[in-house]
Amino acid sequence: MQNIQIVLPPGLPADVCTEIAKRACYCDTSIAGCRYLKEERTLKVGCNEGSDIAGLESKLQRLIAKMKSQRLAVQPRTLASRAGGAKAFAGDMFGALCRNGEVTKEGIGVVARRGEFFELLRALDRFFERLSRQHFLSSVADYSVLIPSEWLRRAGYFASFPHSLTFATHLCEDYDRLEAFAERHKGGRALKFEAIEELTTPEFCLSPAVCYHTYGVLMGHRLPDADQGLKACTAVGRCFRYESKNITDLERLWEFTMREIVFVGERERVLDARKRIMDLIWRFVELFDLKGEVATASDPFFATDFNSLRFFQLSNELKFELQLPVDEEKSIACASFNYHETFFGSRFDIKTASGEYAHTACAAFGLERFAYACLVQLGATRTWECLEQADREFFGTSAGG
Amino acid sequence: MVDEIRSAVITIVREEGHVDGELALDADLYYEVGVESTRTISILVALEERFGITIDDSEFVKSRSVNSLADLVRRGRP
Repeated sequence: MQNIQIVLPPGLPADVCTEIAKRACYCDTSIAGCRYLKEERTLKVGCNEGSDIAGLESKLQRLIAKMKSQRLAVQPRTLASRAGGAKAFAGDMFGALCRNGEVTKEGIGVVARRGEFFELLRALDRFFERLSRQHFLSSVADYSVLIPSEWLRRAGYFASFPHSLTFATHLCEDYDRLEAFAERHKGGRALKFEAIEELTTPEFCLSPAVCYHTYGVLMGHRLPDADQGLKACTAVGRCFRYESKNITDLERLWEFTMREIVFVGERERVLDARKRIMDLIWRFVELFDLKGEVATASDPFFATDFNSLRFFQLSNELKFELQLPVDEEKSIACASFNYHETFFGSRFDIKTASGEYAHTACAAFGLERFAYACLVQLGATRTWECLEQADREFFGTSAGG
Repeated sequence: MVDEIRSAVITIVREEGHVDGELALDADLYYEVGVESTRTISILVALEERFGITIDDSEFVKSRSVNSLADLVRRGRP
């Protein structure tokens, strides 16, 4: 293993430095990992022996130049924070879950969930779904893990998040190619492609988020008067974001489970719904006595658009994240509360009853992260007790009642 | 002078915001005109360079139409 150290330009906000470190892993396949050393204001990049160091440095410098914010004044703003009741964080929770057989690593960023951990994911999801139905009268949907590439194109996903994409493709309908492929793999030989032409251009991708399905399904619709300016939809689904070397057990998976509540309608009603769901979730955090904070944030855009989109999201407070610490130094975003103005309304031609483009917002819950943070801070017994307490306080009954 | 400023703002919004069609002076650039949020900083930087002023970020994000940007520029000029 070789190391490259690059001192970052002075004055960069901490969130930008962290994002640069995450994005660095996508610069070259020879990069094995990257960390941002806060004290030294340095990017420490590990790469495989024999790597082209000059070439790597050039790519990293171009990445840094793109992501260097021109508007340093805009920084994340904390709306609420609490110290929580946990005296210490449980160490190696992932290892413990694996040893108990509750989580099995199937590959990098892909896990099987079983036993009590799986039950916890289901219970958390039931809670969020119930919250959505009772407080926002949400309709419930079930979407495929495949999403039309055309919908992601409309959403601007290819331009803003190319590094996160996972494509669904298949071999072309071509007798000769299929026969050659089968021949190549006889005797249990490893998967090998000879040319990209063997594969079709993907008409579908694996969903990076649940809400895109909602916009796609509503495409071309005008909300009826009966919705009174707000339509709420909820769904849970498996989501896929390629995280390269940033994958970290349950904290950052390639495939994860997301519950979303999507709000579509008039500006004031959509913003009010976002505020209400944030207040409800913060009450949930208080009830669990979790350590955490809600702060403005920006999405993990690719380098090209990062600068402008971070500025736009932070300045307009379009995105809030619930960050829950999992050790003394690290927090993970377990939920986000996003307002998109009319971005999706215009891209997907969704209109309000008055014929104007609809405003949209969504609340997204990363279930594995949420469960993991609760277990690390509270342990299993206390987490289950808190969930029952939350069911009583929010719904007046126990789970499922 | 005000009209001169407004004309320059229109030119910048059209060029940097990639606006080809109608550009109503009081329309919200982002959710009525359809300027992409990826163009925000380009517009901001171009305004600062063209008029030789420094624009406060939080004021800029509140000024979302040609007219309000022109007012912002006018207030920022010595």
